[in-house]
Amino acid sequence: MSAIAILGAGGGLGHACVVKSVAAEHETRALMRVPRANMFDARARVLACDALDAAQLTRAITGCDALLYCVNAPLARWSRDLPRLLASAIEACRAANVRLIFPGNVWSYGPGKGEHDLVDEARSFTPTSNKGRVRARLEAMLAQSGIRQVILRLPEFYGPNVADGHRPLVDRSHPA
Amino acid sequence: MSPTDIGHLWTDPILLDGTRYRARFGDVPATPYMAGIRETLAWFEQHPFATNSD
Repeated sequence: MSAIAILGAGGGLGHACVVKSVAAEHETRALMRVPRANMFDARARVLACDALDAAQLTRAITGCDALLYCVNAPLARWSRDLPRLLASAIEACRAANVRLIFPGNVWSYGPGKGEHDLVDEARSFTPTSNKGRVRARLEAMLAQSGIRQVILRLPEFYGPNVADGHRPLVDRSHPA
Repeated sequence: MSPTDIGHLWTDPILLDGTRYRARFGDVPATPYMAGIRETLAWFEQHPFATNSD
C-alpha cells in the first residue's frame, strides 16, 4: 500500500485516479479547489487545496509516495495558467520529496511521419500546434526540475465524469 | 487557442509504442469502445449538469 495524492481530483482524469487508487487500497488523498466529498468513496480523504499555492500543496502531499498531477485549465488560458500550475506542483514535490506523476499527451509530437508512425520514448517533440507547444514546454520544465518524476503518456480520453469538452458531443447526440 | 489546431491527429496520426510499459506492468487495460460509449452516455444522462470546472 502506498500513499497517493491526486491533484485535480474533481476532474475527468483525477476522478478516475481516485476511484482506482481507493480500489487498490492505497491511502488516497483527493485534492480539490472546491471539495466535494460526495463524489468519492468514504475511504478517500478529500482536502481543499489551491494548486497555485505551493505552500498549501506541500502540506497536503507531505508523507505521500506520489502526486498524480491531474489539474487542467480552460484551453483559452493554457499558455498562461498551465506553466504556473506545474511550477507550483514542482516546488511542492521538491519540498515534500514526493514523486510527481505527470500525464503527458501526444500533441507535443506534432504530425506523424508517414503511415503507422510508431513513437517511443526517444522521439523528440516537434509540436506544430499552440496546444502542443504548451505541452512540450511543460515537459521541458519537468526535465529541468530535477525532481523525481514519471511521465505517463496518454492519448485522448473520454468516459464517465469527463464532462468538459465532451458534453457538446453528447448533447448533440440527444436532440431535445 | 483553437480547438482545431491539432487537426494533424486526424490527417497524420501517430501510434504510441507501449513495449517498455508492457515489459514492466503487463498488458495495457483497454475498454471496448461499445462498452465505453454506453457507460459514458449513461453517466451523462445521470449527471446532466456536471462540469469539471470548479
